[in-house]
Amino acid sequence: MTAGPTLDAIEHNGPAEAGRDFEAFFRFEHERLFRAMWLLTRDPHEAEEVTQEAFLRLWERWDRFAESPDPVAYLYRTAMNVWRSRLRRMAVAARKVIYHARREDEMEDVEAKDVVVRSLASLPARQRAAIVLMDVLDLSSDRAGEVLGIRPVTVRVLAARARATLSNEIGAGDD
Amino acid sequence: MTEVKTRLQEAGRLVNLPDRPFDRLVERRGRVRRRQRITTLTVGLLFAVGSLGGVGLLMSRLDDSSRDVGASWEPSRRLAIRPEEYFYLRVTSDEAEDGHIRHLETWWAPDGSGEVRNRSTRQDKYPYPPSGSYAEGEFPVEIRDVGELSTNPEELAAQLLDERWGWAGAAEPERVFNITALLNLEAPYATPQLRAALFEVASAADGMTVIDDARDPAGRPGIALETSERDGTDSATWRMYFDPGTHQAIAWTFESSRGGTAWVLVESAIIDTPGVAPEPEEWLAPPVEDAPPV
Repeated sequence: MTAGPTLDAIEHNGPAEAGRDFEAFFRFEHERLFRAMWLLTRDPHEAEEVTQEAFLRLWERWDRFAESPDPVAYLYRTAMNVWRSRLRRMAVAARKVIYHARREDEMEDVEAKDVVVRSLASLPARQRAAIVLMDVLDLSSDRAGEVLGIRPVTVRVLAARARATLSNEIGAGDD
Repeated sequence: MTEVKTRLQEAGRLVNLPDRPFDRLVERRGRVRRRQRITTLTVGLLFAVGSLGGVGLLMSRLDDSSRDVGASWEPSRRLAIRPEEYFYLRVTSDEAEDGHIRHLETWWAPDGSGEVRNRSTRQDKYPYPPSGSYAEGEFPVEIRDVGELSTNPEELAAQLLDERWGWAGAAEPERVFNITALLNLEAPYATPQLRAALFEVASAADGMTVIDDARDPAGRPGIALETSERDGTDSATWRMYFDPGTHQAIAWTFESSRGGTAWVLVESAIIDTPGVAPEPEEWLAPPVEDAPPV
């Protein structure tokens, strides 16, 4: 994985650090967001859809955000909104019903090897989002709260519950 | 760093990155802009219709009426498939967000034999059903419990409450609409009689908007079932169109207030030979003459 800066680092250094040019920004941020969305959606195609849609919406507003100190926050917030919206959309739901049982992709391989990732699937969506934002994307609870539109303390509670569940699963899985 | 955090981050590195992500984003942007232009044109045409006195027609389509499940109805054509006959289905779509254009022809017989011609793009992502000729019992079946569904609308309505059909807990009419769309669009082994029964169930669902004098994207007259969703200032509307004479699905459409649109056209027939196009008298609903512009 590309070792991208944290959101706080980008904020501190200004958008020049990530590049004001959209393509440069895309190439810098795409991999991190895609991998996080993959853990969140558990489907590489769905992760690609969410990631692309989030970048597209940012691109449409790039004139405004290129001069803003925080295009990354907008990107993550949009990605989360797109993901939640797509959860409700008919086409996605239909494909899950049809294709879920037969899919043989990287997630299945990973799940077979790692109890943490397997257990991630059973977490409520809000807990999953909180732990992915804080532990995979390395956001602070303040930043994760902004992205999810909830209070930082709520993010910490959600992430703590998720970690506790996953830790228990690790213990059980390693027995 | 906690063990959970470490293992999550390690797992995230295991997925393969998509090819040419920025090129795909550029292509996607082009498609969105093209659709926005088409939507603008469509809205302009609707205003033109309204100014010519079409407002009454438009308003009548917005009328919400419900129907009784199993209300007296006789199909205009035979829906039962006889021995040695095949159910023919052709499903075509416009270009989806991911570049997927669907073009699928299937000939399915109740003994599980048949033929598939899958010319869809993105078969890397949606590989089913694979093209080929299939002997008895070999036709690729993805939704395995379809054969258990009743063609009696009342019994079918009860069966569809089972959570295996998905959308458990979802509100009506979204739940029934989505199951109906799933079976009509994704199950070429759902018989014409089952399709007609699905229409009966869906059209009677609480909150379903029924538009009796609609036209599908190909201009074919039909009965439309509509459901919509609002998310803040955004809204999305889904419609399924059915032939008035046989209650076979003929189209599915999606329209978003953000400018996104999508359509799927369905053509069906009962035919005696696999691998050939239906004769005019074999169609269960008028076939598409001119596909709408993509």
